[in-house]
Amino acid sequence: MYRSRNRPKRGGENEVKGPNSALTQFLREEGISAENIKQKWYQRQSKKQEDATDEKKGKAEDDSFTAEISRVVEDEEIDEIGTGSGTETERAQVSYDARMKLVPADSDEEEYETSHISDTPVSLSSANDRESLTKKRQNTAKIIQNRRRKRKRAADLLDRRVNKVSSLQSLCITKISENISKWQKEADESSKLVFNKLRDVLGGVSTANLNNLAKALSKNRALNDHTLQLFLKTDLKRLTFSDCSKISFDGYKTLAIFSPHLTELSLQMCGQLNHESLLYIAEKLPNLKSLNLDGPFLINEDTWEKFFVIMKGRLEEFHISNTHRFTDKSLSNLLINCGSTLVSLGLSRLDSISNYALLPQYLVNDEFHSLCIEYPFNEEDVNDEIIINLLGQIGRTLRKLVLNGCIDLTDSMIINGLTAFIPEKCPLEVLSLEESDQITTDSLSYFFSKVELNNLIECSFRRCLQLGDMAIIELLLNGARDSLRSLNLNSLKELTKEAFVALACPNLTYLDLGFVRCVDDSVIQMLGEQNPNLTVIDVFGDNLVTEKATMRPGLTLIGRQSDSI
Amino acid sequence: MQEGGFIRRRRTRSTKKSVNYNELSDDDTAVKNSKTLQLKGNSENVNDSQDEEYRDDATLVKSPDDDDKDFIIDLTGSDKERTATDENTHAIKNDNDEIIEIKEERDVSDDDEPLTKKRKTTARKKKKKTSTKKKSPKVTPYERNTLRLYEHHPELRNVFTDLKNAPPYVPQRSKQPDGMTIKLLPFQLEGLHWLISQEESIYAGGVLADEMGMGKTIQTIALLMNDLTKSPSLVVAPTVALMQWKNEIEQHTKGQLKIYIYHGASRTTDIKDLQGYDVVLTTYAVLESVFRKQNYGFRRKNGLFKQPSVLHNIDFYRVILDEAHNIKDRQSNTARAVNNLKTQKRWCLSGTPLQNRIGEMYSLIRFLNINPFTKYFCTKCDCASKDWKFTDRMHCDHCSHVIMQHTNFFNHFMLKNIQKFGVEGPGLESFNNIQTLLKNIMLRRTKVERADDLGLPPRIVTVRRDFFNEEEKDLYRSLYTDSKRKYNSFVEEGVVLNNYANIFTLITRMRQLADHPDLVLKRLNNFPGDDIGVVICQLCNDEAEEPIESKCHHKFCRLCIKEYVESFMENNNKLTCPVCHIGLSIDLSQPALEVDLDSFKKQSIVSRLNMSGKWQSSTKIEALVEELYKLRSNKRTIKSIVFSQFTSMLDLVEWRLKRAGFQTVKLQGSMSPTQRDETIKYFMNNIQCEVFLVSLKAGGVALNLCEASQVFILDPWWNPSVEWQSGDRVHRIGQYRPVKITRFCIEDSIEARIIELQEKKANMIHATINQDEAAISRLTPADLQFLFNN
Repeated sequence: MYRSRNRPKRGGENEVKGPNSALTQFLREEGISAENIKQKWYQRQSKKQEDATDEKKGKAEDDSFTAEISRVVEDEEIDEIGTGSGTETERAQVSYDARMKLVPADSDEEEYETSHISDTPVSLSSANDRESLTKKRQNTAKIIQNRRRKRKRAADLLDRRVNKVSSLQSLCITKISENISKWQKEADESSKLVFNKLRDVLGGVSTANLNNLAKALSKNRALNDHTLQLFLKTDLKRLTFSDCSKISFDGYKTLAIFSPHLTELSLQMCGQLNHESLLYIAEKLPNLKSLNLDGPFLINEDTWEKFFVIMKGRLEEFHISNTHRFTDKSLSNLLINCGSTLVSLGLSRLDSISNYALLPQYLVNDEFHSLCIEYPFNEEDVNDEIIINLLGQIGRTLRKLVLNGCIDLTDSMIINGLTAFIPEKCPLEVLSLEESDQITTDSLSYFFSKVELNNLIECSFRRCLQLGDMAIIELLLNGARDSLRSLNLNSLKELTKEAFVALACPNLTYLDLGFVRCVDDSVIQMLGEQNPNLTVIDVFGDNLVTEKATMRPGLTLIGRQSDSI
Repeated sequence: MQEGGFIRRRRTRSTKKSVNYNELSDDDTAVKNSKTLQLKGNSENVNDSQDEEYRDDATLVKSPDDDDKDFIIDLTGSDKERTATDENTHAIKNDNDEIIEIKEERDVSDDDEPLTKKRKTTARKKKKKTSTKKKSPKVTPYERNTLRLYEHHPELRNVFTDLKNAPPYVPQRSKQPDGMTIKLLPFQLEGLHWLISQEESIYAGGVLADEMGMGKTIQTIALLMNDLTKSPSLVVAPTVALMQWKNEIEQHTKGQLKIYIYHGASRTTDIKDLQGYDVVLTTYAVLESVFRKQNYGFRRKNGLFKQPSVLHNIDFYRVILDEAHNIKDRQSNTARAVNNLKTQKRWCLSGTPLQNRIGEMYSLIRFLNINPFTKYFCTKCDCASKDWKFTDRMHCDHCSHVIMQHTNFFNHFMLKNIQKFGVEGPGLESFNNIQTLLKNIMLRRTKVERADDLGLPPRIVTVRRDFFNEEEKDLYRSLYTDSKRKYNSFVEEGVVLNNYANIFTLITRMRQLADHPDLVLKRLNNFPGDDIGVVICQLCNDEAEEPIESKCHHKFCRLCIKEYVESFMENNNKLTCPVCHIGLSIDLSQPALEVDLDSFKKQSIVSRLNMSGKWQSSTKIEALVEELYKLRSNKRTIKSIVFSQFTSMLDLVEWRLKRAGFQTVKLQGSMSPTQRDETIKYFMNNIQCEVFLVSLKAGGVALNLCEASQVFILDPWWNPSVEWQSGDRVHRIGQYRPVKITRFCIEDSIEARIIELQEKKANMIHATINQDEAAISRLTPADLQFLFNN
């Protein structure tokens, strides 16, 4: 029998057990069953018959194929049910209408109760109904299977799982991390020993896979002091943990001791990183030159000062976000001690920093390439002048510029900063100006017409509400057209269809068109045809995109209402 | 007013006589009710001695004696005279205040002369009688009443001075109580020390008003553990928090406290059953209900029954009100039920003791029974009582004076002037009075102050602004013009206030439309006839095929639930309902349900939707789906809480999210404590379950959801503190992920204005509770007017 993998997973559900063979288990998990295949064959037959009526639907290809079938089947079923139990529904209809008039007003503010429901059961037991009943049961089963398939597809879209079959490697990693999480839940005491052993067993795993395992563990929220031991390899050079919220300060220390050669360390959501462990990291990792911390909110001014003194002369990349204890003083400490070596700096959501004007004085490295200033606490703190000064200093070499959420920026920054200081053959690869709602079409068009952005790979204007068609068209007339891989135009409500006529980029793979209301089926079709490498378009909130949209195979729409409703 | 007083007095003389005698004997002023010219003539002397007397008061803090009473006679004796001398008394009173507050010497010498002058003029005026009265500067009723109060109730004079002189709160750490398994944070130990000392002070309790998530519960448990001999304690909590209290007490005290949960149908009616328990937990609703049954009785077939309340007949050592703003309406039966408990010590816990009006504070003060703030005083005699007893609706049962002559201390000194003037002049004085009192009975620490102790992540609040699409804009506009026309017609007829409920409904409709048009269009009373409701399977979220119902009243396709049940093959004991996560019990072979319209009206809005695939989502719902989608990645799991105040909206959102492949749980008001508990546990322990849907009212308080780090608030609420609280569900001790709160707002709808209004309100609240001087200046009288007159 068919089994869903969407069921809440509980304990040993995925294990091979009982009389089932592993093959049965696998088939079951992937939703392959003889019954299914048979059904599909029936459906194909019936489809052939209805070819005439379904001609327009017939155009649909690969991806929308299953959806097509399910719709057809559902239509049939509804018909059958209608004839099968017609009298009953009619009766229900009458009483329904009669009673409808008695229904008093309700108010939406109240909590409704589902507790007192007195349903009157229907008597379905007349003997001659037996046959139709069994038939109906079968139909029901079919309907439910279709629904399940649809749900699975929706969930897959949500996980951005575009290709159907995952590699053996990734399957293994998922399995390993699942089992690790399970162990943890079951045995708290003995797990420590287990992980020591496990490290030996997994000793031969490549670094790339180790990183994948780290991802999978973070995803399962299973990364903690015990599982951390899996990553304690002395030859490790770079390490990224995406969710460190369960690693205690001791864990960070062991990490520093056992992996002394780390050069790049990225700890996201490291809420338990404290003074002691940060300084420990700085001392025990002599080669560390790149540090990316998200949410180290326990660390205060004094510790930052000490830390930067230790890191003086070797810190090249520093990204920090989500802490309110990184103050102006800490920033100046950072710049004074490490400013000359820094080539990449990221400051995001730092509630205690207002003095961004310090930056231009200290960022003097000739090879400075990445600058991210995001979501300052007070929008006025990051104004045109500061950014213009900064660009004057480092604009020539800049490869990545992210100024998300700096709402105070205006056209002046674009014209007097970006256009003026970025060389005509510019190395800029990433440009992101999200939520800058004061930037207008005119300035950006000017910028794109003046500067050749031959290397631009990623570009985001999400929620730059004033941008209109011309800015986008100008961007696409620019050299960026050939290099662009990811483009985000989310919420640009001024855009019209014209902007998309020009959108033909050979390398574009990802496009976000969420809440761009003019996007409809024809735009989607056009984009699919014009951009051969496009794989994902986000279309959340675009209510004109319907299931009728024709898409090139390999292109996935995410957020289309009709996919899930 | 004067005349009325006389007439009434005559009319009731026979009945009142005895009372009058009492007064006389108490006051030792035989001339109390006689009004003679002789006294008027004395007024100069009286006032002189009055000044002296007041000086004495300030320096010696000695209680006033006979001289004072003479003066009282002067004032009450004749109304003409009274109004005339009011100017004097006003001046005196002001001087007096200054003397008390600043320095006596300077003021006394400076003001003596003008006073006598005034006195003379008034004396002259008296003789000229009414004609000249208008010329004298008007004396506010407030000052008049203040003075009268002081005359008859001399003990009141020093109330605020004493409060001000009380030693300020000095943080001091108590030691970790034995038997607590959790290590208290430094500020919690300080809180414990304050709790213990406050319990021993004259107030016998107080308000612990730490911000959300700073461990008020833990501190209270520490108080319980501090001295185990002092029991029993009663904890009254909102229903959502009941289980949490139980769990936390059990968890942190290793079962040293015996807990009885007084909730649900099986609760005891026998006092003896409660003996031997250290802590009794109950909810506001239960407490109210037992109180109602005791006092008003309940109706059964054969007449009215009264049932003595178990809770109201136990002598508790202390009563603790969790989320005490539940009794903010002092008229409510809940407040009454709480006030009638027998206890020695009283505690209020609340992160937001003030939600709308300063008057709400009064209810807490009344529960805490802090004298004289809760008492009603007569301005004509020394009558003072805690209850407003006017059996004949005119005269005080105690002193027989009329209603108008009684005033409430809190109202008089702290509330009225703020309502009248805002935070200016007399209003500011009242404002300071409130703050002085609060300093003595309330402890409030904010997260910002104690950030280093707490180690809490930063909390980011953003507003996501979206715009309607064309269809929605059309619909909204038509509703808006319609509502506006109705409103304008109310304005033209001058009946805005009479139609407050109507107007509120109009506004509500507009807010619902901003959420999703179906909330307005699919309401039952304008339900188009051709729309048939269906039963929705809560497993496949589609029209149920052969729907059957579980014991916990959730409906599924027979096949769906059958498969679900089968998937548990071996471990049947782990079988739980996929909706509310309590043990599942369902008869799989029961006959299929039919759409039943009686029950249907109570059904979720989802069952009224168009299921044939033509349903359209709304901008707001899609915005939420997008936000949640963007949070997903293959390398981390970020869980979210979604708040809305419309349960229909939550139903819609839940349905939409489930269809999109999210795993969600939902907490709603109708769930039993066990269901809530299991639902919360399910969310906390399952990685795949990413979204927790709660209605703002059901889950705005007392939930601890540290596993989640994102909060989405779907619709702005009038009262910002409700929203803060919801943010505090995740922003609490134990949260190691950065917290982000996103509020959705449709820019071209009424919501944008609600947010504006909220900012105003937030200003007020900061001004009162956080005692932030600067915030007061941000508060204009108009703002307060705006808030207090609703």
